[in-house]
Amino acid sequence: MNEKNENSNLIRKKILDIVYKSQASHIGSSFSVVEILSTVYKCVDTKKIENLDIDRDRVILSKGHAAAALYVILNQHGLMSKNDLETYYTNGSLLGGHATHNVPYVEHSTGALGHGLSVATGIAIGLKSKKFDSHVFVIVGDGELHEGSNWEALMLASHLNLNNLCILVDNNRLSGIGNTHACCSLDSLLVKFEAFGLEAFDVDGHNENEIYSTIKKLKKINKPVAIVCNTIKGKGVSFMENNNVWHYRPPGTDEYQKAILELLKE
Amino acid sequence: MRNTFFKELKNRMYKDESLFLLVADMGLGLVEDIQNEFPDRFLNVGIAEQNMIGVASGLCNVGFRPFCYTISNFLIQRAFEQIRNDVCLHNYPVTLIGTSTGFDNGLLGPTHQVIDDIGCLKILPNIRIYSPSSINAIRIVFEDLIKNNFPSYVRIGKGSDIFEHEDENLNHFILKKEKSEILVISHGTMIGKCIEAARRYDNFSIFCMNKIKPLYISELKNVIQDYSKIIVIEDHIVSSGLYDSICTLMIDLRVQNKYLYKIGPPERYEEIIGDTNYFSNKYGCFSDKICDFIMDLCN
Repeated sequence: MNEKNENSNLIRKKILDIVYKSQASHIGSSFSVVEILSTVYKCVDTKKIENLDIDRDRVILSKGHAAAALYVILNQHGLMSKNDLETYYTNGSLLGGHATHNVPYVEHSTGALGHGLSVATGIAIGLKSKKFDSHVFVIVGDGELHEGSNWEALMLASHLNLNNLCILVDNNRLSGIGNTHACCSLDSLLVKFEAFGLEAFDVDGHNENEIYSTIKKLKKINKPVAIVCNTIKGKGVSFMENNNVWHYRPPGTDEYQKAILELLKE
Repeated sequence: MRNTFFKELKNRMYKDESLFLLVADMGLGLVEDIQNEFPDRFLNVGIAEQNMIGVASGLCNVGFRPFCYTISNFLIQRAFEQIRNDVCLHNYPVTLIGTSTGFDNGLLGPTHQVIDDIGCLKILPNIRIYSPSSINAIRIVFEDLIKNNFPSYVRIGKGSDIFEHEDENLNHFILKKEKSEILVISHGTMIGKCIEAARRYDNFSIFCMNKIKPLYISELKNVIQDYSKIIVIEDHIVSSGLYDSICTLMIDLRVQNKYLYKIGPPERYEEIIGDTNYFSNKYGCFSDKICDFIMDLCN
């Protein structure tokens, strides 16, 4: 994989298109998670997902507000039609602003934070109980880790040695109204995960090679794994990067055109 | 009744490999048999009810059919968003087994008084609510929830005044008094109190509802048609319990010339403590008080 993955900007352009067209929120969150989601879907057997095989790998986007990124990537893997994708955030569509299981191949409805990790833990227990060697990938936001339910799940996952569970943190360090660490510090996430008994890694969350090579280590690790992916909220568009106004605000026409130019230039 | 439920579950776990029991560090003396017999399908998640419900949903994703056990107040209110989003929204067949109802734990204080659980859950789409009234009813409830494959809540009360009856229907008349104008509708362990009341003064009929959600309109329409005075008795805040559901139903049915009465706790949390008998007496659910209420109606 190329470090500067051309595909990432193509994904961001598609996200920008559907968010601009529908005037939806959460473009910053969707941009920060692109490489994480894209890499995870490169590591799983999408044929099994398409067939809904019981022993398929599962991907759960716990930070469900980044649904636009998930839907674009599902489309890229042939798991969602272009026509369906273009209905994003419009009346009568299944594709809302948060990930929903009503959309084919989305494992679980999320949007209320702090749910995905418990559900992923249950799936991991179930897969092991059925002697399948598939994995569960759950993508959480750093702000989401303020929810206490996550830590209940982490304790149990570690206690049960769920080596088929991989948590990827989209660590963009911004939550709803400011710096995640300013309201209630999560530092150091790596130390926290290790203290809970997980194998923890720290990677550049916009470098697919780093994420990919870390995921490839999973089979050799006999405990649950947390990958802290350091990201930039709004990544790819200079005026959106690290600016939390793009957690909620949809781009206007001028902003859309400037953003498109930046993404095409890259 | 709790023992019977877990014995029934254990028997079924031999035959059905999808059944899985999760507990949130509760069930001493109740769950060990299952734990020993099915170590791969039993898990104590610790005192972590939110996680228990999320884990149960994940197990459903892989084809299991989990039962989640702890006392009702921790099970329902603590994990409410998980029950809504992870279970009911996905229509996963998770069975919530909540023990202690009403003022079973009244001496432990208001945090442990289970008087608002039905009200919390009955607003959620997809969920079925059972309130078994007897040991025999547990078996019938089990049959129904397994057959129907929906999210379910089974509200199991404590109590030694367990009675038996032969009826195979979930909801049924326990006492049908011809020519009486009074019908008592009740559920759970309150049925025992109604039967006791009938031993002293039996000029009324008793309809037992082991399943209180959904309400079956045609069933209840037939049940109430011969009575002009209907009393709902429950160990739950009446304004959000079965009484409330029956009020709505009667309005929907445009029922006329019938009076509806309620016996049960009001919409408030208690400052004082007391045992089941204490609060039953206070709110008129005690058999003698039920009897007095009905005799007053007759006069």
